[in-house]
Amino acid sequence: MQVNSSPRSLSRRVWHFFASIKLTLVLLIVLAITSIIGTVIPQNKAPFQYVQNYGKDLFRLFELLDLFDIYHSWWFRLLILLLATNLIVCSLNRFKATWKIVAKRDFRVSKARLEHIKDRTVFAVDSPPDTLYRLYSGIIAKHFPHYHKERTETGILILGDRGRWTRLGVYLVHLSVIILFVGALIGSLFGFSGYVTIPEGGHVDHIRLEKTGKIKPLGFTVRCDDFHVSFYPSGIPKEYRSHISIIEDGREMVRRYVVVNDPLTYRGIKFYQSSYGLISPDRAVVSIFDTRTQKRTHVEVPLNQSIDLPGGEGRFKLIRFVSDIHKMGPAFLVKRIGREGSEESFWILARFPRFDRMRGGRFMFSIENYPKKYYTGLQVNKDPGVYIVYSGFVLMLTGFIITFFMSHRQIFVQIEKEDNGSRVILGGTANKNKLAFDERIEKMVSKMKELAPQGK
Amino acid sequence: MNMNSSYMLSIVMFVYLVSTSFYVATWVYKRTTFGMVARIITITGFACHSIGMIMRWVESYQMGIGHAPLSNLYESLVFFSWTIILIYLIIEFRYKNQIVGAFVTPFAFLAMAYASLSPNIETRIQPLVPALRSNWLIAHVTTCFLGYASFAIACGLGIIYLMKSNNPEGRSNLITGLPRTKILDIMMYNTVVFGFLFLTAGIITGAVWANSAWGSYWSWDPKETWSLITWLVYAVLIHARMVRGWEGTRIAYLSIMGFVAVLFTYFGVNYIPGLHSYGQ
Ligand code: HEM
Repeated sequence: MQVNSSPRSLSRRVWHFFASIKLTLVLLIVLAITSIIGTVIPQNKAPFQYVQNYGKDLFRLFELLDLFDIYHSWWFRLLILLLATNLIVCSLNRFKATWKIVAKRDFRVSKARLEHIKDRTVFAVDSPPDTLYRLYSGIIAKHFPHYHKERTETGILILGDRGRWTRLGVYLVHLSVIILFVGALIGSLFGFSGYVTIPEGGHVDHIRLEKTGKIKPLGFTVRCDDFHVSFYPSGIPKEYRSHISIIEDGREMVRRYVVVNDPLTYRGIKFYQSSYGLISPDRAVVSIFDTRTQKRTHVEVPLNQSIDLPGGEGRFKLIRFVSDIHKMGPAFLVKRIGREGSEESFWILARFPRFDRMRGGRFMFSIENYPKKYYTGLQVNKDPGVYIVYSGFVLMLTGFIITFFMSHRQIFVQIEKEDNGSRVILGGTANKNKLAFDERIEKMVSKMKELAPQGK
Repeated sequence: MNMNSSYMLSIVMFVYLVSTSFYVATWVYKRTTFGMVARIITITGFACHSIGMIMRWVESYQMGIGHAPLSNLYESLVFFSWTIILIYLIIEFRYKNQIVGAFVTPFAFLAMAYASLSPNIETRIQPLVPALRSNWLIAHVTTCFLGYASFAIACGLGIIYLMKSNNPEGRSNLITGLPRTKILDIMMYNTVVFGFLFLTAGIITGAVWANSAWGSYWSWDPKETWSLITWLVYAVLIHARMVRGWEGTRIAYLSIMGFVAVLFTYFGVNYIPGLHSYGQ
């Protein structure tokens, strides 16, 4: 341990710890690894499923470590907090130096820096410096419009720089990460997400929250006036839409269709079309075909009431309705009670009248008709942080384009007087994409050489 | 047989096999004629590939279920292959080195072969389920795959880098024709950065789309999470190189690792249930 532990040096040590990019690498790697664990262990399942999969002991250990809800665990949040601190401290630490380069136009500094450049081109020309300057200034100005020129003891020195501000791009990127964190935090503090189902013609004024399962009053009423679903010929749903009205204080405030990918927003709360289904009907018209007599009868059957079969052959009952069975559409569960009291239960599919033939009984059942009433399932969300997150997105992409594709470029051109002409020394540097910049400089040099005849 | 898009695209698969062979021949025998042939064949393949995708688009409209050909695993593989060739051709012209092609075109060929030949992949044009009926689909898929394709190329460059740096200059005929390690390092980094930009854009468009369809821009579904993991790997690469000054070998390993994460995001996640049930 270090002996020196006065508060000042402690705070400095903490500052250094957070300013370190080594910490960034460690945090990013740890975040990646924990995220992987979260995809390997299924998240937010029922406890008994985990016990089944992992056994009791492992289950307890994993639960202690929050491994069943990793992304919302305290330690995952701590990692994010550490990363945010790391990012802020690191940026503050470096910003002063960057700002010095960006804001001030100190040619003494750039001169000193440029003179260290080893990669330089030197060539001799037969004309005096002033003539050359006149010839070259156009080419230089094309690449560096605001260049600086000064006379030295031996000739002329030109300094050009461009794109200083692009050094700020990386701060934009890092700021955008912080903004994303802030937006997500606001969303989790002040937002909610829930679910509601409304039968056609029905209305609700509360929803059920996803996380806690609690009821949350909305403060207004949502009514489903109408629901419609259309299918592709293959039977896959093509589009489903709910006609939704919002009623507040007895007045209708909004009325419109809601379809998948186009939610309705009211008071910052969004309603997304998310599912639908058929409401269990209270009756159905059943068609009964007697294979012995080849006779068909139609009976209207209320759900859960025994009905006599033709010819005193016992009774039957519709027990239950499901809106979709194994993706084959709506189905009814039928119970048949024979003359001697024998019982038999089976499903009949509303969309496939010949399905029951496969059972091979004396009576073949199918559904002729039943009242089709839908319910609509709406996802209900509020997230006041979402526009902050979106602005973080825009900022991040802008920042990337600046940092990745733009650079701060600097050159110097020194034209020195020699016996009967001049010696030109040219060098340049860029903080990014040096290769592309070198090519550009080469082009500049060859243009310069074309403009003035070269010496020996 | 009448000419439809599937037929066209399976021809493209063979064209890429031929161009892969020519790129490998260019690398092994160092003949510029092979290089010329490889380039011409690849460009022809790319043209047919583009036409094939347009044909598929038109066919879907003729079937009355018109949508951009980006809606299932088959179509995404075809597009993946297309973006690899597109970006590779840009790099070939930019850096004037053809040997890299021997390590990149196989990815494009394999993607096409997997798409056309795997019995588990539905090649017919299918109607769009309501959740996919969105303009964000195109933005999301194109950006993601531009990212994936760049990373595929960066991975190829990483492999070349390791071959080159593990064998001292001039020892083997197969090594001498490869670009200098310094150039490889720059190429690798530039492709990674390009891919990172597009992967980010892909994640962002996906998030915006999810928010407009389900009301949540991020729900930790396995595919989302894996794209984040991939993103983190490349963020590590960028910082390690920028700031810690790691030299090429480690960057090459990271670039290969990153592509493994890409492959897992793309294929592996299909074995974990979630919202992105593209593969089933
Ligand atoms: C997940 C969050 C982060 C992202 C997306 C990110 C992204 C980037 C990007 C794109 C660059 C530019 C690389 C280039 O110029 O090619 C960069 C550079 C850099 N990052 Fe980060 N970064 C993150 C977190 C951090 C953190 C936590 C630190 C804190 C130490 C940090 C420190 C730096 C530094 C020092 C540079 C070099 C800046 C320069 O050019 O002088 N980054 N980062």
